Formats: sequence, C-alpha cells, structure tokens
Amino acid sequence: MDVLGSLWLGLTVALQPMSILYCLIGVVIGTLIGVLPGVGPLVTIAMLLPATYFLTPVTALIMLSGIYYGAQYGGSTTAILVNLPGESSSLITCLDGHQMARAGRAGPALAVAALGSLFAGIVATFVLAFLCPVLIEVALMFGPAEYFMLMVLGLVAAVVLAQGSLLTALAMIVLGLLLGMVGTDVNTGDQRFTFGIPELLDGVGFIPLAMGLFAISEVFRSLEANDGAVVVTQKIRNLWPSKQDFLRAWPAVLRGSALGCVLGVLPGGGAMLASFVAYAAEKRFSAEPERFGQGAVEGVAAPESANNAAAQTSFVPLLTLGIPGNAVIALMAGAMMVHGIQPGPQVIESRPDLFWGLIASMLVGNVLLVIINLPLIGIWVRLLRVPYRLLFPAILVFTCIGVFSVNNLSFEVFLLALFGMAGIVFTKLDCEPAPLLLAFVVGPLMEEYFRRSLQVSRGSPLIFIERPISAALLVATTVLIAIVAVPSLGRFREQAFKG
Amino acid sequence: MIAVRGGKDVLAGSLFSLLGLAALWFARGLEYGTARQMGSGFVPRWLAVILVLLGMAIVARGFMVAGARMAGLHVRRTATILLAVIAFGFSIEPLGLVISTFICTLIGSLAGNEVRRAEVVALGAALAMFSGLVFVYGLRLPFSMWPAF
Repeated sequence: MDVLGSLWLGLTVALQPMSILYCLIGVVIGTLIGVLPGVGPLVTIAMLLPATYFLTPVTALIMLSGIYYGAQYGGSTTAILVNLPGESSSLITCLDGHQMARAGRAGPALAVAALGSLFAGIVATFVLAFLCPVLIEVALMFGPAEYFMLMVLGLVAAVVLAQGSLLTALAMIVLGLLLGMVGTDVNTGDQRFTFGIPELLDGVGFIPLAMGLFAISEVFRSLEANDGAVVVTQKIRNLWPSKQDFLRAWPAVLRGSALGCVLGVLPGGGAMLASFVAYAAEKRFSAEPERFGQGAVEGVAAPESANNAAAQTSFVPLLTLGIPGNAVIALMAGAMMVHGIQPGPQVIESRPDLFWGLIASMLVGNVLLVIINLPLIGIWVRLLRVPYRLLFPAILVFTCIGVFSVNNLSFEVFLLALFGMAGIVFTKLDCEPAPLLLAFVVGPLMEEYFRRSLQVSRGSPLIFIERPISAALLVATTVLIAIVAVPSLGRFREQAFKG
Repeated sequence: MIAVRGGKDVLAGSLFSLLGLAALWFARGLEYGTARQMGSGFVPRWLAVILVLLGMAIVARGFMVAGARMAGLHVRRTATILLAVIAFGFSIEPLGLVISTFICTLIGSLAGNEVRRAEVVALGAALAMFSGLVFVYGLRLPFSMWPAF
C-alpha cells in the first residue's frame, strides 16, 4: 500500500477549510479542558458527541480527536505552573516541571513540553500511517473465533494494565457485558432485561452510561477532594530553553515518543501509563538520576512526549480492528457508529477519506497546538483562576443537556442519574468504571462472534484452540492473567504503579 | 465474631453478587438453547453466574485480606447532585431549556463546599441564557426554550 500517497490524500481532506476549522476548535477546547483540573477529555468528548451529529463524520472525528491529544498539551501547563495535574497524564510532569517553574524556568519547561509533544505527535502520526495498513492485512485473516479471542484479550489487558484489584475489574467487565445485553436480542427478537420499558428496546444508551459513570462521578470526586482554591504563580519570562536544556531534552523526547507509541497501542494503555513509564525509564537510564525531582528537564520532556504519542497511537486498535483500547477511544467508536460507520478493518477500504483524513489531521492539529500553546500561555493561566464552585454546576448542566439532546428522551436523563449514582458508588468502593464501559461497547459484538464461532464449530468450544491465531491469542490472555494472579509478579505490577 | 478486614471489598462483592442474582432472576424467561443453537438466555445466564461467583470471591477476600474501609457516604452531596439531574429530567420537557437549566444549576450548586446565594442565582441565570443561545440558536437542537404554555 502506498502509504505516502494515502497520507497525501488524507492531507487534502484534512486541509479543507472546514476540517481545519473543526481541528482548531477541537484542539483549543482540548487545551482548555486540559488546563482546567477536574475536567478531562473523556467528559468533554462525551458532552460534545451529540453536538457532532450535524457535522460530517470526518470533521466530527477530527474535532473529537483534537480534544483528546490537545488535552495532553494543556495538562502540562497546569502541572508546571500550579503543581496540579490538569490531566491525569500530566501528573508526573508536576514533579520536575513545577520545580523548574519555581527556579524561574517555567518558560523553558513549557516550551520543552510543547515542542516534545509536537515531535511525539508527528512521529505517532507516521506510526499510525505505516502500522495501520499492515495490521489491517492481518485482521482480514480473522474469523469470528479470532475476533472473539482478541476482544477477550483486549478486555483482560485493560484489566491488567489498569490499577486496582483484578477480581473487581473482572466483575466490572462482566457487569458491563451484562449491561450490553439489555435490549432486543438481534438473533431471536427476544427482549432481554427491558422491564417492559419501550425506551430500553434498543438497549441502554451509551451516552447516559458513559456520562453517568464518568462525568457525574468526576464532579463528585472533585468536590470531595475540595479542589477549591488554586494557587497561581509568577510571570513567565523568557520562553526559550537554553542550549543545555536542548541537549538534555532531545534524547528524552526521542525515548519518550518511542515508548509512548508502543504503550499507546496496547489495549488499556494510554497517555497516563505512557507518561509514568517514560519518566521511570528516563530516571533509570540517566547518568545523574539524582537530578530528577529537582527540576530535570528530561523529567518534563520524556513524559510529555510519551503522553502525546500514546494518545494518538491509541487509535490503532480502533482503526484496524474496530476495538477500542480505552474509554476515550470507546467514545470515538461510539461517535463513528452514531455517524453510521461500523469501526473495523473495512473502514480503510470503504472510507479512505475518513481514515487518512483523520490521521493527517493529527499533523495539522499538533502544529496548531504549538502555535496556541506557546504564545497564548497567558490566557490559559488566567483561566486557572476560575473557582471550581462555578465550574461544576456548569458541568452538571451541560451533561444533562448533552444526554437529553441525543434522543430527546427524559428517560435518558433519568438513566444518567441512575448511572451517576452507580458511578459514585463504584468510586467509593474502589471499582474502576473504565473496564465496564469497554465491556459494554464490545459486549454485544463479542456475543455475536461467540455465537457464530460455536455455530461454525457445531457447538464445540474447541474451535478457539484449533484455529492457530485464536489459540495464540488465548495463550497471550492466559499469560496476562497469570502475570496478575501470581503474587510475586503481582507485586511487581504494584511497584510499577507506585513508581 | 468474624473480623471484617476489608470493608469495601465486602460491600462491593455483595453488590456484584446481588446484581448477578438479579440478572439471573430477570433472565429466567429467556430461552437457554444449546451451545450450537444458542438461545437469547445462554450468554446472560452464564455471565450472571460468573458475576455471582466473582462477587462471592471478593466478599471472601474482604474477610481475609486487610483492605480499606469505606469512607463516609456523603449522602447529602450525592443526593443533591442526583436531585439536580432528576429535576432537569422532569422539567426539560414541560418547562423548556431555560428554566430547567436554571433549576439544575440552583440545586447542583448546593452540593458544593461554599454556597453564596447571589452568586448561585447569577450563575444559574448566566448558564440558562448561555445554554439557550448555544444549544437552541447556535446548534439548532430541537428543544423548547420556554414552557409549553
């Protein structure tokens, strides 16, 4: 496949005025919510998803993806200036970034973060462009058994790479799968778990579920943590990093980008994991590890590059196999389906303009982001002064409006309240909601593939072992489960998270 | 007296098992079928059983392994947030966007840590106007702005 030619096609799509406009809107909103602590890309994308109905699928996806990787840029601003992570993936940037700010070097820190992110974003875009077509070739060899095992692997990986207890995460997955079954069964026409409510015939709405679990519980969590007073800082002079900064940061950016690209592709992986691992790796392999935590520029460059790379490459499973790897990408899958596009390996054939346009738009977006982030820093800083007590009612209201706007059904607003309560309860009980959402999205598909596999094999479950690719995936799944279940390895995993 | 070491686990596990049992109950009318010709009840029942088992395992862990206890429930804050959403749900159709937004903001603000009355009312009005402009005039969403009468 002529990748460069296809990228060129993608650029012609991405450089159209409407595409650029919505890319700009997306990255600006992304930066904005990245800067504001307590509001993240997940909540924002969920809120804006209904508003994208009136756009073409291409512009909708360009805008929504812009929000996601734009947020990775914005999060670093808050982390460096205020020692608060604007985004979970910027948590580790607080360590060295804020130290640099205190030493009067906020400007270089911000610049290194932005430029590192730009580099990583461009690298990740090319990784997407070259890797996806290859993976799609592999995916076309997949039958229902392989798809089923792959989804199982994806869900298990999401559990393994997530924090918290394995058993609890598995339970959340099963619960998500069950929720996905609500509605009319495609094969038999039976109604499952609908309680005679007509609005449930098509199943539980994805938007009320996602927003209840994430947005509402997020508001609750932020109020609990009393995110009231935010202390802002000094003036930012002298944006440009010193030569020494460049020399030190450059290899960190390279390593961070590489790590980010790899970790982003893994299901359950994502920007936060990538930033943590990149920082840990950088510190481990540094000649002077004691500088970390005191304002080492590599401690900013590596995680910031990694989180941007990972955010973009997390699109790989979606664009090649149609399987979302994390909750944000699950929302993107939702957006595609809402526009009538079934995610999967056939998208590159049926909608090459969408596929390549989306990838090419990431190049455009990253450039726009550097332009926005560096000169306009002052504006973002001023935004940090908005007190949370004004912000959270707005989030509540927009959540309600967003949910209602999907189908104009008050029922779905009540579902929002129900899942909001569920989200709060889960938060209190240390149950991660992300696996539930993932399972909800892939569940119906999984059931379908499971059913078809058993039909093909005439009822024999051995089909999953007999077919080679499926067997390989099954082995990989077992290995992953073993990693978590075996106590000594489990401790290793916990160490990685304590970092 | 059996020592409960991990309060959260016991609660979480019980919740899961209860939900699993509920799922089994509600799926009782569905056809099970055979592995070759699966009925609509095949997968749900298996999943429900797995959920009940996982729940029990988590409860067991709660009794055996020292874990965290659940912190206070903050019923007031939870109830306020949910009430704001429910109020919106009841009022959006009969009363239109502007009033529902206002009500939701008012109730929702009460969940906050500091509540200043004048500020809340101003915020409510501002959000109501903003939502009206953006969602109805700007995005042309098919809501009614004002009450039906």
